[in-house]
Amino acid sequence: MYRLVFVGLLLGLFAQFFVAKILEEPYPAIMFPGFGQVPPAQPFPYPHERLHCWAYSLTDSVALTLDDLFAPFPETALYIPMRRKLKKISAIITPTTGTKEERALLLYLQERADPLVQGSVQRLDLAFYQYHAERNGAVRLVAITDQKRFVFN
Amino acid sequence: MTRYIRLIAGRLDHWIFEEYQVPPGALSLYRIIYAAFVLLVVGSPPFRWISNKPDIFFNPPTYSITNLFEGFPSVYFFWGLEVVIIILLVFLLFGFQTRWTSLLLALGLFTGFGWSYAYGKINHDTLLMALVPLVMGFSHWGAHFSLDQRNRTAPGRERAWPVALLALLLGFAMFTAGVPKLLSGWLDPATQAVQGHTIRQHYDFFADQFMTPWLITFDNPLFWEVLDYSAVLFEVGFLLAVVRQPLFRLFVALVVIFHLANCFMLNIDFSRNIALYLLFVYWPPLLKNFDRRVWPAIKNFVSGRFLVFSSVFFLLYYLLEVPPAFRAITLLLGWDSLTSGALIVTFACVFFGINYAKSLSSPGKVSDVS
Repeated sequence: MYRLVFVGLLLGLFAQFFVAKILEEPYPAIMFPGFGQVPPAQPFPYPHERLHCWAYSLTDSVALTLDDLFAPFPETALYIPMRRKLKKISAIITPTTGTKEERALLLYLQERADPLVQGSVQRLDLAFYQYHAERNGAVRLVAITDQKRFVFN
Repeated sequence: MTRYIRLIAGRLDHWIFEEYQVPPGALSLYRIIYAAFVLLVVGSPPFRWISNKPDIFFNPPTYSITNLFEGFPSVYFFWGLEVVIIILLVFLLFGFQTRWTSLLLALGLFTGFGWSYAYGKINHDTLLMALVPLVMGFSHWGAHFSLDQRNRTAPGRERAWPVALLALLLGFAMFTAGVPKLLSGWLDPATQAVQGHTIRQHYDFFADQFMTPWLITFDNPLFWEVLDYSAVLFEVGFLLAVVRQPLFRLFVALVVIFHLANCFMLNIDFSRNIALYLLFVYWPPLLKNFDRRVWPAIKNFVSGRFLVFSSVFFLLYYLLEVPPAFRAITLLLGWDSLTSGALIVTFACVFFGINYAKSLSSPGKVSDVS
């Protein structure tokens, strides 16, 4: 019986691993130089707006209520594709479009823009966001860009 | 044909039941080391933070049970979970109702980590820690140095097959880390993946400690390509090393060095994984020293009264939000959590190196206690 369990487990592990590999969308390869498999840029509907590359840490000390988040901010359009493992979700969020939670997220991000990062990137042809839960309690929203432009500009 | 089938079956039986055999008492000592490592060094994992972010961040992985829910549970759920886990860790340390304690501890850890993954990222430094009690719960690791032994409720002798199973799972986990690298061009000499990740870590995740600030300006393709090849071959080769315990022990010693390199280069802390790696050390000298020097001094403390006292102590420790002992010391020295993790991994490198050297110089079988 033990033999059956071990062999079955090993085969099962391989099977689920390869099924997941077949089903999942390719993750952009992070290579130097260039980021070869990054998704193609999408046309942005607000050509006069500046886009910003933002990286955030949302730590435990930040109080988040919808009242805080709906404080007045300048109108800025922000393209946030949210990538799920097997399904892509894209959203163009402005202060007047998107769901209530998405608008709240937009305003929250605007308030907490890191000025140093903001100044580093003048225009973003491509934005790919993912959010990470860090072990120490920070949730980080990160923009991964075409690193060649970002690093060497 | 039948002869070959019998030969393969015999080899398989040997691998499952004998290859990873350890001296009697070793797994019980490991139980104590694991529980003490989690309680006093890396700390019982925190989960309360999961509930205090907006539900817009709720994005569980496809195969997660958290997909059954619409958002994160309340903070009280995670408070309760943390309390239960601490109590179970203390029970594990004392070896009280060891099998059920182990299984419930695994359930608690998987529950908490599962919810933390519902932000969309699976943290790979936590899974292995949770696998240990799940698998070792079946190893009779409460047979010695335990309250179960004193109460005469301890099971029979320790079993080797859970150790083989954990070796297989660890080898497979490393293999699944290496294969995507192999398939996505890490071995292509025209690009350097470790260099790309180092740059990304620095600019996107503000990794700026140890060697990272210098490495982002270091542009030697041969250096980086060697790292690419090393990472892929090492991770893929881990699964092959599972077949022989001495070879696997070498890979485990090397993986600690691998984590140290990741910490210094990419500022990524995988110190929690040490909890699993400690299972695969060479046990005879450790067991001899523990049995002759440590156990006589502490065995009188393995009692129901001290179990209750320790549970209360660790719960108060936790409720007062005192960091685990090791972390408290590094905080007093003014070091951050990454430096603390780097120190843990550094100590582990030295320990595993010395232990591995001892395994090479000792004659006889691994299971002998000299």
